[in-house]
Amino acid sequence: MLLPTAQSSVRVLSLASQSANQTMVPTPIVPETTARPPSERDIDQLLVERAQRGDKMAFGMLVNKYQRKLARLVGRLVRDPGEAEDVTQDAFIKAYRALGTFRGDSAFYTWLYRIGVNTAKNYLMNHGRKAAQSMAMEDAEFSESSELVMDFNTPEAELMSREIAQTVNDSMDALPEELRTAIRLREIDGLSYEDIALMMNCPIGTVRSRIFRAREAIAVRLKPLLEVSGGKRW
Amino acid sequence: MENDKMEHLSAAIDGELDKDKFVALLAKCKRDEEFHEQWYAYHLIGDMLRESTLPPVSIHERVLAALKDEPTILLPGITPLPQETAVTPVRRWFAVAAAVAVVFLTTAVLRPTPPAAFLAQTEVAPVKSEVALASPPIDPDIDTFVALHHQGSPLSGIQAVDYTPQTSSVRH
Repeated sequence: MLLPTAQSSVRVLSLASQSANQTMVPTPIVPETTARPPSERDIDQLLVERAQRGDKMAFGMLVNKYQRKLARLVGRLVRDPGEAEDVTQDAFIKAYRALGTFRGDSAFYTWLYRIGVNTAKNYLMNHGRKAAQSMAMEDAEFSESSELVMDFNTPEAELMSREIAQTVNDSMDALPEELRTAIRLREIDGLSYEDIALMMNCPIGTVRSRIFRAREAIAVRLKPLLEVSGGKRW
Repeated sequence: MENDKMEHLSAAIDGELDKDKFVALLAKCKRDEEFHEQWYAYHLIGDMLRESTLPPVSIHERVLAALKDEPTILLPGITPLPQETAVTPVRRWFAVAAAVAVVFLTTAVLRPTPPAAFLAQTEVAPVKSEVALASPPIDPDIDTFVALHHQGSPLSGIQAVDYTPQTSSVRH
């Protein structure tokens, strides 16, 4: 049986003290399994291993997961939306070709990130352009400023982005409180199911179910929008 | 069942699903369109909740299309995943027909003297007496045994051959 760690207990108490209306007593919840589940990095590694064994669909799942992050990174460097998509695609193909060199010493996205930056740099060099003329390449790599992204989004992409964000936010508002809290704690605060179970004073299985139901409810509302924007995906 | 699958997917995205279960889920849902749609949607939701200004890029189809022409990556010393063999309707019907034929022939061989009705419909009727003479002595209980097992067989409805005991005095 796993007991709550000192660290998680401290976090629970600190968060509980922020809630004026709720009394949150950190009752120890017995986890349903004692085996440590794989981390997100483990999941990526597993998909990489499957891709290394010939499963292209597993690599497709990684593309699906990281395409937005990589496109944003590349977009900061290339600064043209159309070109940025092409360069992002190139970066993924280069990553696939180089999968044999990936040994899992770093996280998959860290490795992919370097490929994305190098692909963008090469693209700009080959087109006789300097990297992100108005700002240094290294700044672009680590900049988290969202305004920079919006500057070079096309109006259509920007509109779509806003619509998707709005739909997600509206769906969140429409969720029952316990579902909304569960998915917020997971997606925004990045807490583990175990910590969320402690905070919400419920079993881990309930947390898992609540997060799933929240995602399903949001996905249902998103579906018409995604069908319009992207068509059939698989 | 469908909900279980998607709930497992949701947990896997959060790194909260046992590795073996995730492997099994991947193997099961490799070609499941809904599974991949939800994988996409759940990640999109997470990205949007964390940062709503991420570009709504959707290039995975283009990447996968480009990868079709790429040689499959296989690391030296690593066992490739078993290739899927598509089960086409033609193959499925062929398999069913073959199974029925095997069951039918097996039944015919087990039966030392074919029923008269069957023989009357076939060209091999004259062989009947020779086959019967060449057969070893039959245990009287064998008809009961075969009849019971025939009725219990899940294929009994498919082969639609009425088994009528011929070799003993047992009558049903």
